[in-house]
Amino acid sequence: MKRIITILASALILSCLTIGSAFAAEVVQGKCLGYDTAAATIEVEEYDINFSKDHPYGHSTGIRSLFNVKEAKIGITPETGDVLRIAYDVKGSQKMALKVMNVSKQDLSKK
Amino acid sequence: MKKRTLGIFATVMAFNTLLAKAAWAGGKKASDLVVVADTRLINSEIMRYFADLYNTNILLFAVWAVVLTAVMGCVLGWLMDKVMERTGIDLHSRKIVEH
Repeated sequence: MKRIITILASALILSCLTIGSAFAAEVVQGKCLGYDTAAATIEVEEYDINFSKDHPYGHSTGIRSLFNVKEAKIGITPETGDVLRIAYDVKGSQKMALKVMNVSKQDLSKK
Repeated sequence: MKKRTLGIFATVMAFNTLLAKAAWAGGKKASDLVVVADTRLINSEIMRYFADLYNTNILLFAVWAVVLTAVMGCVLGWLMDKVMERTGIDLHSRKIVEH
């Protein structure tokens, strides 16, 4: 009986931990073009991952994306021109932001 | 006299605490510190899993941190046990030699 409980508890813990693989979000980084608090949207000009000394956040790809931030956790309030990193999920035609990090005002690499 | 001194001391301490709280409350509300892990740069599957978990489900990430910390503690304990065993110190049995 004790053995069965141990096996069941282990299976439960393992399934709880492996269920995490179902959680996957896309990440984008880019320049903030506008933050509409009324509509809860952020428009971003996406950057690539070719980092250099002159372009520490990457180069602009020219792609503009609109994110719905209604349910997102937002750090330092984004302003136009700030570099943002957004974790998001695609739901239908909308990009639903989960977390918004203000990279230029909260650069961890500077510390 | 002693009672009076204690009373004055308690009043001063309470005033000090209130003053500090008032000073903290007077400042602008600090914004949350939000960090997004950049998964665009990660190639390793396991690192990607943890980075995704950090971005999407912080609670499960915390559970993983607790589990891994416990596992690492067990491994370190087992390793130290082996090291102590090799030095000749017997930690498995307790003999009282004084009696």
